[in-house]
Amino acid sequence: MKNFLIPLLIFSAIGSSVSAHAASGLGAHAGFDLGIWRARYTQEGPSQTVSIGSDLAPAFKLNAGLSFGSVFVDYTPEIYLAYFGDSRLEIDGEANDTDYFALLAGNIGVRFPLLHLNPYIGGGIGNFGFSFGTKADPSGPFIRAGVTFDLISTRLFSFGPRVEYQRLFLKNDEAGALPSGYSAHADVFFIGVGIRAGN
Amino acid sequence: MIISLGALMTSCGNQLTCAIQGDNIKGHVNFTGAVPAQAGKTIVIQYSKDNFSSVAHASTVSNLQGLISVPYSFCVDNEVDAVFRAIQDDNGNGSWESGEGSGRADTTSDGNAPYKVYNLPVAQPSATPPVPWKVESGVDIAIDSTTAQ
Repeated sequence: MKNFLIPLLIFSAIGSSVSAHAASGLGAHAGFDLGIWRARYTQEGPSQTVSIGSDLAPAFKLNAGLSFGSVFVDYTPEIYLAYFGDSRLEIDGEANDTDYFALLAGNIGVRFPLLHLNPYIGGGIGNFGFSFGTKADPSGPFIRAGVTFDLISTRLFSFGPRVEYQRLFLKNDEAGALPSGYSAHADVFFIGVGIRAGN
Repeated sequence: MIISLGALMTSCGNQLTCAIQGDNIKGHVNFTGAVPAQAGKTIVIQYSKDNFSSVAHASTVSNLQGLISVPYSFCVDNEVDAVFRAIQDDNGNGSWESGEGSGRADTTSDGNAPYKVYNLPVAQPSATPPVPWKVESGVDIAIDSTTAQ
């Protein structure tokens, strides 16, 4: 990763009437998720499209943020490891080594305490080291959506499964901006479990 | 010692500076549809200082996944008329034969036009005003022909 990541999203939590829980006011939380991820990288150009899928690989995600009633905002650095024995699926084209990419971004979401569900959306911009075949070091913005479920939940602690989808819009690589008429994106799917402490 | 270092830098051209500063030519080899990108084939990128009367240097990029826009970079000398072309080297012999996809850095994507010439100035950081290390980006090569290089 040549450049480290620049989180650009500054979230404004507006409104506190999302649920009856809103009256609880300002809170803070921190936690982490462990899971697996899979990605599909797609390049599109004049009358051609190429799409490549990755294997399942480990992912580790941190989060820390604030709550405003039922609305929460997160700052979420993430690390995705990839173990590919097959060079065709290798991030940098070199087989049998370990690659990773990392994101720094933010989320905004809503808690529904009675259903134990916490849907969220988020996004950011970063440098992904995510190229499937050349050391292309692409970068650009991304958006995502996910939901966490509080399988175990107390006033200051929660644990449960998480699922997330990301769409990375890859605008630049090591050679500069992608040429006009060409585009690249990656779809990333994450599933795991997570722990969150705080309120 | 000074003489030896000077001789080394002269014989290496810009290689030493490129090793420190990074390559000074960057672009993409793009498949336009006229020639399909093929997974597992090698792309050969060539650089010339005499409009391809001769090839000054060639490098390869392995297109393992058959990507249709493949980044590349090159280290070229300063104050020369540098031009670039590329081939999809189907038979792996390092040179172009009829039927193999080819293209030029000519700012077009529909056949061979005259090469675009890139002439990069020598960096002079202590000059007034200073001349920085020049990096030319967007030196794109369209693979758009199989009948001529």
